[in-house]
Amino acid sequence: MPLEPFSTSRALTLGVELELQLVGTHDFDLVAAAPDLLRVLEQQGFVGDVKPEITSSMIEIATGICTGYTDVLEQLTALRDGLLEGARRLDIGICGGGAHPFQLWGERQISDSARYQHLSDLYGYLAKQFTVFGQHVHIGCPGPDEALLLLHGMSRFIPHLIALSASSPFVQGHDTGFDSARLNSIFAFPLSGRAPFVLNWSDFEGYFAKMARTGVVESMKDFYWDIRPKPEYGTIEVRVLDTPLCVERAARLAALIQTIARWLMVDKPFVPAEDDYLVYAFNRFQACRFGYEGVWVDPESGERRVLGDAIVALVNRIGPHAAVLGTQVACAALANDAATRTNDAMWLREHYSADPLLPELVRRQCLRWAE
Amino acid sequence: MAPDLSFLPGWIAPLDTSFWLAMLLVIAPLAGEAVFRLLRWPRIVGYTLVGLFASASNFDASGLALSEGFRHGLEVAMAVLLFELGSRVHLHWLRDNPWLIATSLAEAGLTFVMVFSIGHYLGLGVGSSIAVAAVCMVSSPAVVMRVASELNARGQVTERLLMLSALNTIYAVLAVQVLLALMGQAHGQQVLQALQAPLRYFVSTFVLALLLAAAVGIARRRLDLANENSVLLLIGLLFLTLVLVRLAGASPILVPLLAGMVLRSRDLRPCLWPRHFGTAGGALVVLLFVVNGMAADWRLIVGGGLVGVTVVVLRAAAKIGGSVLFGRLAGLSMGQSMALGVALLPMSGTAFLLTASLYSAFPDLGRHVAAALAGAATVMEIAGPIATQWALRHCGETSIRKDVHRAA
Repeated sequence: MPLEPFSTSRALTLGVELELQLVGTHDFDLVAAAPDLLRVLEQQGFVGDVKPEITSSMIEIATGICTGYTDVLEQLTALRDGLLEGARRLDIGICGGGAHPFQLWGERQISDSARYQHLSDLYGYLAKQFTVFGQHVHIGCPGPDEALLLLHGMSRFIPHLIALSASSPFVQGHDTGFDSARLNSIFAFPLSGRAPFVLNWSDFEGYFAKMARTGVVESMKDFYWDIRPKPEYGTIEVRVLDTPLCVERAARLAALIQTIARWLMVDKPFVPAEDDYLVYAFNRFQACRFGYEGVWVDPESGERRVLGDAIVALVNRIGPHAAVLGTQVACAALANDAATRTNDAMWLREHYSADPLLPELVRRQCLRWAE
Repeated sequence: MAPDLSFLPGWIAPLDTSFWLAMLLVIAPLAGEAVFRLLRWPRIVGYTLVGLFASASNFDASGLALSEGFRHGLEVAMAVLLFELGSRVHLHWLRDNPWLIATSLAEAGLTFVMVFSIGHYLGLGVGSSIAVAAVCMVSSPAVVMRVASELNARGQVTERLLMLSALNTIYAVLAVQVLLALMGQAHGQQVLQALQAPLRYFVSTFVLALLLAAAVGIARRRLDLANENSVLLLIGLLFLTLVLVRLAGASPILVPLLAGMVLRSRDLRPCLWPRHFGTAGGALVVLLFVVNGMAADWRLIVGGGLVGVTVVVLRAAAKIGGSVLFGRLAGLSMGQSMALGVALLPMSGTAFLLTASLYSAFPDLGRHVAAALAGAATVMEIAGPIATQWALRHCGETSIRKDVHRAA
């Protein structure tokens, strides 16, 4: 199957996907309730994009094409409320967070669809380990070359986005020491990581054709990159975010990405280079492991900074674009979080240390999600 | 203890109750495991079969069953299961999904009407028919709780099964109490006089349930209930409550069940303790099912004949029909609704406890009821757990955790 042509989309429009946890209200462990929830949503006339995911205790919601922060927040809130109505009828809980704190991966059930069964056959236990929950943000690009330029420009800010969204410190019943342990589940996949450094679409098509010829991939879906082009929508898709604990934070993160994108597209503040990726894995690890306290190495100057400070500096620098897009409040709130070193991972650790019972922590996550 | 032991060497003869008790504790788990491995049936079927064989082979259970300490132990086992069940019931759910109430009333109501009609048709008196119908409403909370936890069942059918089982148990206790009041009136008591007993019964039941819930509530705030030692405290509290239940003439079924429900509704912080309150509770539960088996009599399966079979079939039709009726509106698929009806089939321990209270108040009535029910109950003691397991497996809600340390 050749790579589909790159659709056009209006520049800087955005769309948000959130993968959510479905939990039982008795023990707050994951529960395989996606088919039940989808059936009930259909009955109640739920309007909106909602899909099953690889294991049946996950569900994904997606906004339509949005123009900005307010639009995203409104759509996500409506989706959330509809989902909660269905969940109440089934007495299940829904929450954000990049990973379930104590679920055991061996107990997960692969969703009943040909694609997911194929992935399970291919990847074995990795498929069940893939029960992690992310936020994906699509940014509309005027053309395919612009998309690739934006992708490689955005990639140096991946650590910033990881630290801001991190919400998976607990995995399989233990504090991992990571702020975002979710990404460790994704690195295990052979086609994870970053996109190849090509800046025009025909080169990218060439790369895809070679990969397809080897039989390693069939479609863009087989790449689990941190940012990947999505020709079907005419967007690039940022995939490193953990699902935040509330829709407001999800909307803020989308707004920040939109603002960075505008800055990169309009100001063209730097020219991306292959060498940017020399520090990529290091920076990303630091962000996952230490959050705001991680070290961020500037790929151009080689200067080392504390990530929290780098985020504040970034938000200041893109301020004028935030003003144009109407995302100042959202970006300022995130800069403030970075300055005070607060994120969802910290929220989870604080609540756990106040009451060290992981099911209770998940119950609080559900309350936070429904707020 | 009067088994005919004359064929055994003399040194065995003086063996006392504790020997037979020990033997049961050795044989029952073996039978449970055999049934589980060979037939993939729930282990409690094995326990119950051991009881049935013991009573069939002239092993007189009275020596065991009449020893007071032993009987209290079994009541604790029952209370453990009822309390566990109660603490799984989320009353807010009924508010959020009123079709669950409709489902509950449909399955219990249909069962009541069907069984009452057949009882009446077959010539049982009105009182006896009401009693049989009330007892048949119950989906044994003990069996349901035990099978669900043995299979680590989780999901819509499981949660609804637990909810409906708790509710139909409550209906049955209410119905039997109302019947007792009516019978009292028929025997010449004044209305007020007839109402006095059930009123006292319910007030004391409710007060004791609140007290138990409060005590466990305090305990879980201070102690880690996942710990074996703290769990012993819970068993102690249940034991103590049962003593008070006897003194106050309250319901040994409703008190632990309601206490669990109150605890769950008042404080949403998850309360998790080892299944059946750990090993001690687990051992009691095994014995409970063995003794249930002993109390039943396999000859009654044959003797109960037509009545027994008719009751079993009609009851099954009513439970399944009732679950299907509002299943879709309550948010289940057709397959899940059917499975829920099948999962609701077990009847046993509770049925006998209820008839016991009837029997002690009105011996004549009790005898009729016992005769009509014994056949059905005995069949369902074996078939019930298998039905529940089948239903939960069918819906993909079970996961048997493999013990990684188990030898091959």
